[in-house]
Amino acid sequence: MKLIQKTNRNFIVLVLILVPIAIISIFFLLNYFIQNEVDEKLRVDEKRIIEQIMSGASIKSLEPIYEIRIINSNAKEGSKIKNTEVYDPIEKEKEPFRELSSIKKINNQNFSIVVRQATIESDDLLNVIIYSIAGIFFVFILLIYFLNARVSKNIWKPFHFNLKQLQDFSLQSGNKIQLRASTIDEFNDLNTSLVQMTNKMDRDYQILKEFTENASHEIQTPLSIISLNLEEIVQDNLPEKTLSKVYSVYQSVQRLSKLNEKLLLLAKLDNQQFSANHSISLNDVLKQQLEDFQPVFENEEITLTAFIDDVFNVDLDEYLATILITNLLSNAVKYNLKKGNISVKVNSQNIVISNTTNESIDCALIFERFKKGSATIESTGLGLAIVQKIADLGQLQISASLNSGIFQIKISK
Amino acid sequence: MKLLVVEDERELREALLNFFKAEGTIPVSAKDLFEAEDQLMLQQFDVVILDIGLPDGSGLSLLDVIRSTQDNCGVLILSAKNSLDDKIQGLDNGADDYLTKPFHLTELNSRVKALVRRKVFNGNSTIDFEEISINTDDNEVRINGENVTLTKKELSLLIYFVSNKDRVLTKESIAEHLWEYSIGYSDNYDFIYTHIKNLRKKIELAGGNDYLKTVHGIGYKYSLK
Repeated sequence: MKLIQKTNRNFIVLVLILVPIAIISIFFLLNYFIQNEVDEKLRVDEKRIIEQIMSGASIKSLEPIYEIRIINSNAKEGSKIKNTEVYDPIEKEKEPFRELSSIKKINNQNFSIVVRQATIESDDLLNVIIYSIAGIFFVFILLIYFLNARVSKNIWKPFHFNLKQLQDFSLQSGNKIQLRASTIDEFNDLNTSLVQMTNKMDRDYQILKEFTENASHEIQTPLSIISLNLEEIVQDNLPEKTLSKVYSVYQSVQRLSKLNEKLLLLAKLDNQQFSANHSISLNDVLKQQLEDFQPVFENEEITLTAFIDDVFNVDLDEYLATILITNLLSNAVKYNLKKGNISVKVNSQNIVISNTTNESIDCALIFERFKKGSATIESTGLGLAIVQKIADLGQLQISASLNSGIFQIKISK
Repeated sequence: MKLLVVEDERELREALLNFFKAEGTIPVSAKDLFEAEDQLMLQQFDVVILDIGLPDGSGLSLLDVIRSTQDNCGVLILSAKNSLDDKIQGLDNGADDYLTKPFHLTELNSRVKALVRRKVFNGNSTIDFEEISINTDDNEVRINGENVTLTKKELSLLIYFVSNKDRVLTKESIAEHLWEYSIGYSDNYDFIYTHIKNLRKKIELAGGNDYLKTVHGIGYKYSLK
């Protein structure tokens, strides 16, 4: 539910409760005050009549406003006030009246004086009140609703803009978040907090990224020293047993170097140190790599089938494009069967590289770092993570699928 | 050949000095820009091996000094940063080659030798090993004077072997030499057998001797013995 709906709804519920209470109280209050006023007027009227009678003037009754009669019985003096209905001969219907009837002894004669004042019918009064209040509230609600809609549209405009900015925000993009200022203090406070938060996140992320890159750099030199010295040791005439141990250390150092190199490449891709500003043909890269892979294919007795129908151009650094293709071909060899097949299909929109395999490869995981598609094959688990990163840089979509022993990776624009 | 090694890491510097001493060159070393400038002012070098990350500044700044003090000197940049910017900047500013740490000594050796051929012999140089003669200018290989046609990779392999004769060359270093972007394919080096098999076949067919010896599953050695 939107905030505006929520506040509007609460407002309407409040109005629905308050309006009947208001109507009832206004009705009783009005009734009370009108009655008081009428009663007062009746007493004044009666007083005037009594004064007239005292001064000896003869007063005739004027039905139904007042009736004056002389009564001979020895009735007690007194007065009472009540609501009554009297037939009005002019209007020819019974009308509500407030009536003050009293017996007064004036000049030793007993008078019955009845003074009446027409009153509004309660029903009429109630109706008037209900309609007028309901009308006022209706107009009021309508006005508030439209005003709210208008004002909130303006007030929320920066908020929605900022929300979009937040949704699009990515630490990896390296762009600082740009929020629109609002006239509402709360929104501005939120903006300030958001900017502070993203800046802090950005700083932490930068530190983390630089850490990876710096760590990889620092590792390069000791690795070089180890590797160089091992290569020298291998030159000596060592007993075969020692030699194979030294070589095993050497191989591990080489693997460590490769791993480090891959991490460094990933860190650089993360740090956006490559720009993809010129178009190159992946076909050329592919052709060159297929040629370079020929001895690998021969060694593994892999049959290659290539269907290159059209030119697939992409905006990528040539170095990265080469790594993209090498990693894919390398994967296709690594997860292949002995005497298996590799098929490469290229058209202007897609490159599909598929290979035979008997591994159960988890296609959802393979593009994640250090996630290996298969438990049996030795791998750093970085090759396809690099592929994914390079594809992102070249704005290419990449997907993998495994279907009845054929593993396929598709790159598309 | 006179060689200057500019490298701040003591162990690496010594490993390089020892290696090139064994190769029969007279290496001079410098541990920072200051020492390197001193050496460059004092004498002429054929090749400078230059580390970029030095304690008192970037090795790239030494390129100007080399240009103003040296007549004909090849520069090979060593960098821990596999940074394309460094590479492009280095090559633009007069460096001749670029190698990323960690590297194989044999790879460095063959590149330094290639630099010497290019600089000292102006490219007009042949590498001779017994009956084999490689002209690196027009990439022609002759065995007993007869032309042998090799592929680019086979030629590169042969030059690598001859440049590093009498040394054990690990499979890894051979694979990396053959494969420019070794980062992609690095788990199985067996494929180099195919290249080596083809090279051997061509040389033997042309009447050459097979000087390539297998070393206990480690790699190969190109030598007479």
